[in-house]
Amino acid sequence: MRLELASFPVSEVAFGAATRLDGSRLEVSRHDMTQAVAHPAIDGVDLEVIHPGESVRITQISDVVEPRIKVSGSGQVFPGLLGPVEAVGAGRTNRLSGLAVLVCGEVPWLGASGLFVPRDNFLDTDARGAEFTPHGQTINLVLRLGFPAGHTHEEYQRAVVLAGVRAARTLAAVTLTVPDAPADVVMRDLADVRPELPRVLYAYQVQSQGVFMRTYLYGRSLDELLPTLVHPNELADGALVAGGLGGGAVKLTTWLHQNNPIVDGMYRRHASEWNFGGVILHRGHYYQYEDKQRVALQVARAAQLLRADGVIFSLGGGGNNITEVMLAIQACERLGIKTVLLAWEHAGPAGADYPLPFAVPEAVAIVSTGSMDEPVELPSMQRVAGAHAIRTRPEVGGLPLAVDGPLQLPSRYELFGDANPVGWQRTGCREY
Amino acid sequence: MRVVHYLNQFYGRLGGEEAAGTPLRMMDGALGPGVRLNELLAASDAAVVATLVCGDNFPSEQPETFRSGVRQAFEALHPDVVVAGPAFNAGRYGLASAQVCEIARQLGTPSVTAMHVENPAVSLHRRDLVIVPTTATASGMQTALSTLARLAVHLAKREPLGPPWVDGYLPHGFRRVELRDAPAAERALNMLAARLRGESFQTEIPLPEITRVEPAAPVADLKTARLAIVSTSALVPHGNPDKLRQSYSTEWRQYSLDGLSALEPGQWESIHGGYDTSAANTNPHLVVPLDALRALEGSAYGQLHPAYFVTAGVGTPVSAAQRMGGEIAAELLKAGVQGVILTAT
Amino acid sequence: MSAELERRGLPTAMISALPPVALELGANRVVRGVKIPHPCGDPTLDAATDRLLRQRIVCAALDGLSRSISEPTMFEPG
Repeated sequence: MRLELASFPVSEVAFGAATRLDGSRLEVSRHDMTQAVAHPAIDGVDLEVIHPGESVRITQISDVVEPRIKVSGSGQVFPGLLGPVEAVGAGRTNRLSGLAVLVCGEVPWLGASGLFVPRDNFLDTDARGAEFTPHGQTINLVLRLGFPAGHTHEEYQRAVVLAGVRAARTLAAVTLTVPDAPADVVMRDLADVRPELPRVLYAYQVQSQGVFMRTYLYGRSLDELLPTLVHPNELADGALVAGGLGGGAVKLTTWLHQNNPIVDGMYRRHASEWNFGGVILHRGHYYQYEDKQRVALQVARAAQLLRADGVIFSLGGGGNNITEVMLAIQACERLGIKTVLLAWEHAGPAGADYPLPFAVPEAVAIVSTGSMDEPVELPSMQRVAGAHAIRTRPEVGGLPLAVDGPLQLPSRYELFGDANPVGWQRTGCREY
Repeated sequence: MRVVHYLNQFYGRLGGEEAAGTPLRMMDGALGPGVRLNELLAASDAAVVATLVCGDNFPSEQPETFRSGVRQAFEALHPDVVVAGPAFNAGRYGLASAQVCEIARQLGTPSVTAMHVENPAVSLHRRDLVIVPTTATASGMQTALSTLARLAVHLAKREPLGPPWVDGYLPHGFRRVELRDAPAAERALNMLAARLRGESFQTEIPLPEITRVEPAAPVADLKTARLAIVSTSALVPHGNPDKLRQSYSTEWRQYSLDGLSALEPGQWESIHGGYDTSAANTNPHLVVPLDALRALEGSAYGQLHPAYFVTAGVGTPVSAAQRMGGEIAAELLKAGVQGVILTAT
Repeated sequence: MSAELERRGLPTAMISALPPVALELGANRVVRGVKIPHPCGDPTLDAATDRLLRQRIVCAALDGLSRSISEPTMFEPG
């Protein structure tokens, strides 16, 4: 299953009469985007482009998607959501590299509370805040959706996820008619192995529990997911889509599913350092201990059946998501499989507490991806793209937090992607 | 710069275990390993002006005399920095060295000590003191003295120390976010490669030290006992009138169960930010079992304390949980409560 | 928190759906709860059966409180 990932870099985006690519300059038709996101639970969309170097605070993000489209090979990108359930991951796929579609907007809070409310967030494209996100370096096409009253959360959520993937594919379609060759083509094939090298897998945890934190595989929600096997090329073709509303520091976006640095890194060393064998996809935050044990058992069993010598683990969410992963690490290590974990830290505002909610003695190799709790000061950006106040504290009915000036936040929860769950950023904690 | 050195009876050449009761005494200049320390300090215009020597048992047998003696010595000698040890794995010596550094700290004088990471003094004092890690035995004496001398000079000059992994002392235990040289994913891939090759690697998050608390004595007579219900489920009166935080909760609230035989849905709600609260909101007893507690009251146990204590157990730092536990315990003990049922979500 | 209550002399029985996690975090008397969102019962059961289950869970907690233990111990609802 060989995939050719062809990159068409975008260096500039402007709105114009049609959606087309001229060299590396992308013209986007507002009409095309409005059509792409159209849905009964949406009334209108504001469009905005932000280029790297601009100083912008983008608020209320639900997902980020990279424009991609299949040129050959079976299926189409975002299978199951856009079009039929057909296997993807082979043939050629074009991508508009350097461009990210951000699906934003103030999703109504309909009296839900606690975990189950769309969590508002923001990201900064410049200065200190840009250290915590990949999107200080991408051209960001912001689709700010309007949500009319009278719909359910399920309907808003459906509209949001479809908006992102439709817009992404519509944009990538420009590459089908350009005369230029792609700037580069990366070959992705697990078949070429060197038998003397160790085999490694990636145990990829996602979050899927209800309408606010949903992940899709081939268009099906993963709320009931027991560990399953996925080919990394399927991720490149958008088989895994982040369908949640809002989200904070630990959010995994579709863009990260498409551009997972752990996957990319395992591929880069394939047939040189190790043989990359595939991805074990699983979800955490099950509510019963026995369910967590099942997940752990099955992750380890999959690794064993695939004859893994080593497995890397990442976290799909906060809190007790780590329990499944720790138990799986324990099960793997007891089978002689070496593990490494990427983990965020929860050591409190002063960093004085033990940083993980749960650990097992077998978790001897952990990389820190940063802190969720450390207070952070951020300068004001030159402008705000989106609402100038975000909603915090749903448990007291919601308190607006104005974000148009400099910010002194007591924790990092609202900082979109700050926990760096798949290790894109250079953040990590050290002990002083 | 004036350095005062602290040694136990053995390194201070007064004898072995038989001299462990030797009271604190002050000697001019350097003694024992302090002589080498002094040589290392000379290059930076610092010298050991005096050495305090004390038997290993004296600080615990005569704590007041020991502490005031050390304090008076520092007040008379006005050192620019105090160096204690190296104590290696010697527990009494390590604790005494840490105490000496503490006293210096209280007087505003910088200090540094050295001992093995498993010395009991480390877990008690690492937060506040600069402790150089050493070998378990005196085989690492020379390395320890070099590091002590180097750090002592920085501290005497009131220069801020570099990070622990650069300057060679034990981290105090505060984890801080930094930008590393490579993305976390890259660091993880490198760590996996090292493990598979059988090469050494260093985890970025060490495993926790298991802290155990001795179990409290059981409730003496359950049939007459007063028990209280505490919960981290964040179940509060509807509308969250006292604004309990749904996560990062560092406060607790107290509500009256007086006269209530049940928790009516609609009058209570869970505002917890870490779990699906719909079940609890439909039937609060699923997280705070008041109905069962009332059914068993007066038969299986004595009485239910009328106050119910609640917090939201998500994202709560351990230190805050401990503080809240202590505060709630104080309230319960004051009210004659003898045991607690705690529900967690 | 339960560790701190015990440290102050109050025997504490913790009802938790993740008993191994509770035990690792320092709880000494842990009662197995049903599920994280509803440790003290099961909303999929009819009301009467759920109430009986809840009584069994609370009784296990009471049992835990009245036992002398020397190490962290789990109590199963009968």
